[in-house]
Amino acid sequence: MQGCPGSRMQSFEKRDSGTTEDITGKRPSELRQWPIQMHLVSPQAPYFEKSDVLLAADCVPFALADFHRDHLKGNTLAIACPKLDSGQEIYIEKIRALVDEARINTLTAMIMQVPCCSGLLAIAKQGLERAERKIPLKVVVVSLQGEVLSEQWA
Amino acid sequence: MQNFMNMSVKEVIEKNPRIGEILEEYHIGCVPCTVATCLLRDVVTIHNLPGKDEAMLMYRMEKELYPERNVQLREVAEGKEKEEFKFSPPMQELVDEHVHIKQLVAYISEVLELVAQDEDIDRDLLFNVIRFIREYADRYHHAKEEDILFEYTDRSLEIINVIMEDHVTARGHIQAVVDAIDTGNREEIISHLTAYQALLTEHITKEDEILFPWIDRGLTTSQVGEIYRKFSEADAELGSDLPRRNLEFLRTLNEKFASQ
Ligand SMILES: [Fe+2]
Ligand SMILES: [Fe+2]
Repeated sequence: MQGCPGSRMQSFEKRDSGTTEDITGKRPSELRQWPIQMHLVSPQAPYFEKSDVLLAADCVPFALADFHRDHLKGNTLAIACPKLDSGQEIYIEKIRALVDEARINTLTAMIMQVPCCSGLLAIAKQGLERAERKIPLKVVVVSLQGEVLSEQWA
Repeated sequence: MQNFMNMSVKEVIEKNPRIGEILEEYHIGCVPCTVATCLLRDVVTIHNLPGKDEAMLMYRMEKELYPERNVQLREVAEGKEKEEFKFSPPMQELVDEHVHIKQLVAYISEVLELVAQDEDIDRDLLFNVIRFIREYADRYHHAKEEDILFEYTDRSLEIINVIMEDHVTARGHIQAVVDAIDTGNREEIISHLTAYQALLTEHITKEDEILFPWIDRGLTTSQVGEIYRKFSEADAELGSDLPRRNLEFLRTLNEKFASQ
């Protein structure tokens, strides 16, 4: 055994992306808010109102080459690490407030494929359960190599 | 290739009946297209065949229609295994409601046996069946499809028209049953409820297996959230008593016919 699979060292072969389209020129950031860390965000912030919220594990945007274009665009964002962050009870309460008070439209939890990352999905589910309103929850699982492994409604 | 894909299934099959047989092989029996005026292109995409199967289907149809052409089989990249399809929450809600409607629709057979046998028609039983159909199946369920869900589709699509027509035909049958109960005309009661039963059974299969998965695949996450919210608002407007009393009636039917 090599210890926790979530923190096991791995290196990937450098791959030729094979595409020539879209790699020249600057692309704008799709981030339209600040702050983004779950402890820092306020569910009362006006940009959350009725929005589609992305709850991304900290590692996700580093793994996904096109995180901005394919996932962040059009959404509001909160990031967290279910393995290292303390005070996760606060996260659950904030998700409840997002649903009930900011009346968000949907919640999408984006997590890495490593087992401990599913903790973030658990946090999302608990927050939703605590809320009076019901909203759809989506789960996107990302591989270490930056592929979307699955995208499913929870 | 493009031109025949833009023809209606009916036209293409008229042009060459073999096309109908080929489509059947891919389980495209044009179930949703009883009128068969759906465009071949829509019918093929709506069935969401695995890439290789779709390429082969197109190849075989083109070969059949244009034997003189040098038709090429389209290459399909080796893709990932298809994920198992899971409905989005609002679509799942409609599919769950179908389960209850299908139960009621199945009990129509038992109810009609009683109508045929009993000396006096059990009007209460019939009116409760009618109430379920009008309240739960139509006002509660079909209204969400017509007023909310289909707003997110192209309403001019033949497949949507077929589904909408089914709703109208179903209402006509139920009105005819109500009139027949009034006049005590057993044959009319039986023939219209039997027709309703057949219609709704096929209708729900079309929705569950073809139309809804197809619509669902085309919805954005944000649209799913919107539809979900609009469904809850529509349900709240009708009140919780409507589904409660009708599902309660369904339970009594369960008991009534299970003990027989
Ligand atoms: Fe319908
Ligand atoms: Fe339906």
